[in-house]
Amino acid sequence: MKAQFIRGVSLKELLDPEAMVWRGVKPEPLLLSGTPSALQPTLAVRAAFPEGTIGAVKNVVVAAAHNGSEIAFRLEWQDHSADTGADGQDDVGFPDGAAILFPTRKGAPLMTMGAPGLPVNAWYWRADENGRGRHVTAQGLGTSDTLDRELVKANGIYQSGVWRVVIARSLQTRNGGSAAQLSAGGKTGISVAIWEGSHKERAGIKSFALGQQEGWHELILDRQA
Amino acid sequence: MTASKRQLAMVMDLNKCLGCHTCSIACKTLWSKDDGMEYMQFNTVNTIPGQGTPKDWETMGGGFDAQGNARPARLPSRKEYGDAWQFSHDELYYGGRGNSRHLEIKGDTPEWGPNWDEDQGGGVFPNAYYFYLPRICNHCTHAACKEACPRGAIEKREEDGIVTVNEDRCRGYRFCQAACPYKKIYFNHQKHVAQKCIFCFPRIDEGVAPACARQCPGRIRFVGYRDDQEAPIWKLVDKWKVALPLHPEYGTDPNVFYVPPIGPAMFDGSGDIDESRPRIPDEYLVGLFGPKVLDALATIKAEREKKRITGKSELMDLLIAYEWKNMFGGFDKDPSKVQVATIQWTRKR
Amino acid sequence: MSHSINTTRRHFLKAGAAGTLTLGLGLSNLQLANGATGKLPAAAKQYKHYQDVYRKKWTWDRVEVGTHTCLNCASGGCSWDLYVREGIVWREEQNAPYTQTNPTVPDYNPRGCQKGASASALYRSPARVRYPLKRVGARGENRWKRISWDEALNEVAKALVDTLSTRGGAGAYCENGNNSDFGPSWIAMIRFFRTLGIPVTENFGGVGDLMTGATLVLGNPVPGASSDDWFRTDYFVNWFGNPVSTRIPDAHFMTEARYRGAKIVSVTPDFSPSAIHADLWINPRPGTDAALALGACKVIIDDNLHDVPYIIEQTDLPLLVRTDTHQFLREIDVVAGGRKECFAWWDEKKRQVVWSTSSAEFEPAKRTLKLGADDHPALEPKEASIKLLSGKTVALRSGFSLLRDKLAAYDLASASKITGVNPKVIQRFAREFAQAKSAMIYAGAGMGKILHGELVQRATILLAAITGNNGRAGGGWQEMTFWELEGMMVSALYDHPSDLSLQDQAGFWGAFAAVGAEQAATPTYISGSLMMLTNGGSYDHQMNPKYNDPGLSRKPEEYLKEALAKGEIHNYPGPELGSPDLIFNMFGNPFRHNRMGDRLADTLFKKAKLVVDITLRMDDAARHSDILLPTAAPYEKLGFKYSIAYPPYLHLGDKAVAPLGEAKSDWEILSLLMERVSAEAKRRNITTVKTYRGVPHDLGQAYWRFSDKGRVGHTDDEKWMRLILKLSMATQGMTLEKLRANKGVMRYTGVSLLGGRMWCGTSDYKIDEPLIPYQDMVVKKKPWPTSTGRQQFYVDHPIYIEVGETLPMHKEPPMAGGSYPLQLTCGHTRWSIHTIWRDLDILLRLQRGEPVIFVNPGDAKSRGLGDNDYAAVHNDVGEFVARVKLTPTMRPGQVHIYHAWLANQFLTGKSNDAVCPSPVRVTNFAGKHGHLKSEVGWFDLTQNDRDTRVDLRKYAA
Repeated sequence: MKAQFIRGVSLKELLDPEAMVWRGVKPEPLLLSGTPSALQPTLAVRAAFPEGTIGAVKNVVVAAAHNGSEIAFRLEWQDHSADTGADGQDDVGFPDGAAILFPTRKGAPLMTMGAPGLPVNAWYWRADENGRGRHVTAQGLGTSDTLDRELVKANGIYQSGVWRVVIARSLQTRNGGSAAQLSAGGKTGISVAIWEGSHKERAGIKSFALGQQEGWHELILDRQA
Repeated sequence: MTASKRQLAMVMDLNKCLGCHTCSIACKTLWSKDDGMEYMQFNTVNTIPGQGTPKDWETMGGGFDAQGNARPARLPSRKEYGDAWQFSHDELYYGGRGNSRHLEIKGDTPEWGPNWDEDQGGGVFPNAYYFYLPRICNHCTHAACKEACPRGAIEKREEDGIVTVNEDRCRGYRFCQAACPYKKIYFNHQKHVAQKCIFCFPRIDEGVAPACARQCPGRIRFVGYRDDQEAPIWKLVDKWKVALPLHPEYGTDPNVFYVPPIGPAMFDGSGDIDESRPRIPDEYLVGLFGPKVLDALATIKAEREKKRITGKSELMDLLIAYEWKNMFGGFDKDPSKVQVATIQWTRKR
Repeated sequence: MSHSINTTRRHFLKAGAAGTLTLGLGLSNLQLANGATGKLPAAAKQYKHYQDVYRKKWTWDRVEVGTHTCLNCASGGCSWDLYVREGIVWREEQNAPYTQTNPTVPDYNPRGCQKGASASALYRSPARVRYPLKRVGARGENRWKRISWDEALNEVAKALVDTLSTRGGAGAYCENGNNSDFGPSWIAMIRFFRTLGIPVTENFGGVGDLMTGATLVLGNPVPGASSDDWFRTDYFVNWFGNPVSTRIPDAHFMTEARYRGAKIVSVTPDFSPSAIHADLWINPRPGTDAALALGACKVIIDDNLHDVPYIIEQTDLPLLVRTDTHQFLREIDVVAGGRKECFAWWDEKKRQVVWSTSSAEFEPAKRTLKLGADDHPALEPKEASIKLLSGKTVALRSGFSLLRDKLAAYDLASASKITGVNPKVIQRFAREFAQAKSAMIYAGAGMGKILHGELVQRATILLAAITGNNGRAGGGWQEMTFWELEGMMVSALYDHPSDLSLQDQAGFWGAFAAVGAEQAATPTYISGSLMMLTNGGSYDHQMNPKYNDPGLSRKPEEYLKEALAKGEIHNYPGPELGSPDLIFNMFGNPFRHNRMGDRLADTLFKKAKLVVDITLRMDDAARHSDILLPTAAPYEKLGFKYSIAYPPYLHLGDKAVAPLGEAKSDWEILSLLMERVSAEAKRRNITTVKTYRGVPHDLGQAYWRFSDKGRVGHTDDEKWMRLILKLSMATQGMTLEKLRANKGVMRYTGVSLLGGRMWCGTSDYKIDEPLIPYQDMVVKKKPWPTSTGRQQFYVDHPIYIEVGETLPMHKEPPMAGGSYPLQLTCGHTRWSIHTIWRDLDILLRLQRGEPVIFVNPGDAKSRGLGDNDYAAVHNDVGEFVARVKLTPTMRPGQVHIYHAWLANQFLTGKSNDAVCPSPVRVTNFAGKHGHLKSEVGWFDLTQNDRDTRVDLRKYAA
């Protein structure tokens, strides 16, 4: 996957999934699979989501672009319903969501959402918090911790059965090792996760992109030119 | 499962419950007035036979099967608990529309509430029957909620077994809410966290009994440590075995116990008294408390007769509770005497 | 149990949906977030912040000790601590200060109920009136504008002076709902209207709580004891009542008595919340309770289980009745210059009439119940006769022998036929009752709310009396009773109580004599029920013979007219009071507590030029008023709780916080008003005006009198509190300071000797014993406060003779409201003290949010009604709409609604009171007959509703 460098584009423009600037960025389709039921941390979760029932969303199309200081990912996937949170589905609804996941250093595992000393960093959007994202770190299943709710910006538009969501952040942050530090010209592992709210997907119940590098896909950032 | 070092418990005597809901209000005015908590009733009291709170909760699954596997479960909605209906007082009293308005429930017509089927009961006249069943979180020894949470956001206090939702760790996944077979966990739609009865731990930490127990005018609630052999809980649960868990088959080892109710005599077809069987059917109570309930009922009846004839019965004296203070297993401090300034706040990192 | 995971690559290849997974994962050492180990992974952050959040919720600035008085709650006081945050009561919690009376009975703790626990929420609710308001738009519209206190008081003062100077006190009246305290609020109302000679309605009879049967039999309309006495009973009969719902703080004594081995019996037509905790539920057809009681009496007498010595000594049953007139034999019949209230029994040894030393007009020094060594009263004399002054010899029979005749109609088969109760059940009940060591009949106030309630009361008291239970520990016929507070009485009724002290007995009793004289000339109280009947618009329905006893030989209104002509009715508000210029409303909601109260809008209220409601909250009465004056709630003013004896403790209602908004205490409101009235009178040079009974007084001096010569100022509520404590026998040694140091609660220290009328009939008060009523009579052998000096079952007033009720009997419930198939019963709700809490959201959410009726599934089905459907409940009188709750606990043919819903909570704005014609009990019009004196709170017209006939139909909203 490539993050295309676009000189001078503003974050505001990038955050609009329908902005003209995205037409010039080559999107890449990713296949998604459901997280394994057997990997869910508790029996109750596994009983609620037996093997084969996880991962309603099978495909997502991803485009990535950066301007030298911020990077944005545009996700597009098909969804027959916009699920905006707990008030839906007779009060037992869950929001549609999407996240970009990065290892913070080499060796940070994807399948377990990191490990002690080997954090992963998620940039997380959910339909009931549209406009703001969550900047999350984790060092293993069940240990995710929200670093802040400011750094990640996210904006989603739902139209005619399709979600178009942009998730963005500055390339570098002050979180040190808890968050992924990216740079123009560099490369990093990456994954994408989608939660289908109408299927009550939340927590570790999601679709995710499984790549070739120990589960990760690879993202290469264009140099600044 | 992890056992805590000690375990606090409660016994509720269903022969004394008046269905007054002082417990519900005591809890509500103390803990659940904040945003998103309006519909929450950490303490509920239901007329049973009845559909309970949430509606038909006993069909919603959760808990563990006999092999110890998590049983499938579903989430209850706010409507099934009962929404916090809003009323049109201002319009009625100040809106200038006189008698053309009445006090309305705003929005949709409710179809259920936390005490919807009050005083309806079961059976057929004149052999109808019911009693009141108050419920709080059972602070189970084998808490299904705790075992369900993938984040470990539910904690069981080591010193006394009180189970709490760590609202800082909680991400609102609601697996706990489905997993609890008693459906005593609520979801806060504004804060997106699970919330539930906390056994009034701030009061417990100060030696004061939970509000629902201390404020009960029927004097039905005992509080104390399971292992304290000097106090009523152990005597009622383990010595006399007249206090039983609700739905023990749910597999969570609850720590709230009930003294089963005995109703008045039935009538036969001619209207004469029929004492051959109890008005509250044995099968019904067995379905709630398990087969041991029959022994408990027999014990209560025998000891009551003993007290009547000889004036002496340890069990009856416990249930009468001559001195109210002694119902609380040592947690009998007067809350008004608690120095608010001595409550330590900690932020552990 | 283990949470193992199959972590092989093959497994993931199998599990992966797309089948393109390639993984090399070493997951065998995976540590779970929780579950098996119960520990969080090392990397998980520990947070305890949420615990601090909960701890912070349980904090407060200060605690006001021992405050709060739930006005008008008949359970008596409950002591609460108020937790105050930033000047507002955040929440309340009982402070449980009661100690055990003695080790043999449970203590009173904690008392309190869900209503008390939500009182602070109520006082802040949208219903609370915070500022003086004036109506704009038409009356009843509920359109208001805020005005200042000055404006409000000036307008009202002016209206008062206008009316008093033109029409005197008869041009105004005050509706009094009895929802006051026993302190400055009640004192304020009485002093104000008494001084101005304006009548105040008294509504004990109006609401239907007045037990005229108890007045007749026991000489006391409120006989009772402390509730820990219930624990000592062996046989507790909860008759017509529902203590599980209505005696919440005291019901535990009943459930705990059950554990002591007492048998609990519940007598109610439907399977009520109190029946669930009984051993035996007896379900007579509604209104047939007298037949059940009399059937039981017959079993007991036939089986010889009755207590003959007790009956002879303590009841009028051995006394002689003339077979010609059916009146008691009186000394005046036989001896020239003889006494009227002097009665006789037949001595079986001496074979002659002997005048009973218990009689009311016997020499006071010799009056006693104690029989001499050679006294042998015959219970059933044979061939007793006497020669009258006229020379005629008349045969005499004892009350007991007449009773035996009467009971013949209640043999088991007949009693069973009337009540629908199996004869074996009646027999068993009777025998168990008679053979119990002590048996108590705890009479619910519902007994007063059927037309023939008086007969039920007399019959059930009879059952308690013939078994010797009245006066036994844990026994007897009981309902609520009060500790008399003379200090409060004299503070309200006497102009200058600050001059009095208990040490100066002559002065004290002189004051009462002065009060008596003033009250005789202008009674402060008029009967609320008679006001409603005469002037409220309910006359035609209440007097309709079709809704009344079909056995009456005259129309009901004839009895009233006759009684008025004979001057037998005290406190009568005649038609001259039917067009008031000015109506005040305090402490209640006359639209609600009167059956057919909605009619007031078209009668009294319509005629009034100005209606002033001194009120805590918006309700039906406020809606029909012109000026609302916001009164301080409990917590915001000083007061004492009703001195009910269930807990034999005085309860202080302290002022914890400032009144909300611009509310003021009742005392302050009326004090400010009175000051302006006198000032306005002086300004206009108006001096003499007349009370509503024509007694002249100087209006300019009214404030001087009201304020006790200026000694009690506008904000001097506390002075009244101290005066009450100082001048009452029950509170000797108590001070406000001691009360406050004791969580606002102190055990009564003595018993009043006021006016010889001892509410509990026990003058020796032992602080370490439960209070038992009637000890003066059964132990000290002092006569009962009746004409015969005995428990009096025979009533020989001409009305009683005419209607056949000389002795207790059963009369069929009338077809009140028309010929309809269902009987509408009612009961006191658990959810509110009358209307006060009825519309509070946190309590409504624990119900269905709106009025409901309870219907048997069969009755509902045949009318096409399902659960939660709206049903119109209708009869000839009116209609109301409510939601249906189906329940097998409801008897077929009976429909039940709990009371006190505001009319505006009903879909069509009509409440259940709108269908209740409240037929008049003609015996209530009797008076001037020994202790049968017509007087409010003693013997007065009672309203009733639980015989109302209705039908249901589905209502489409």
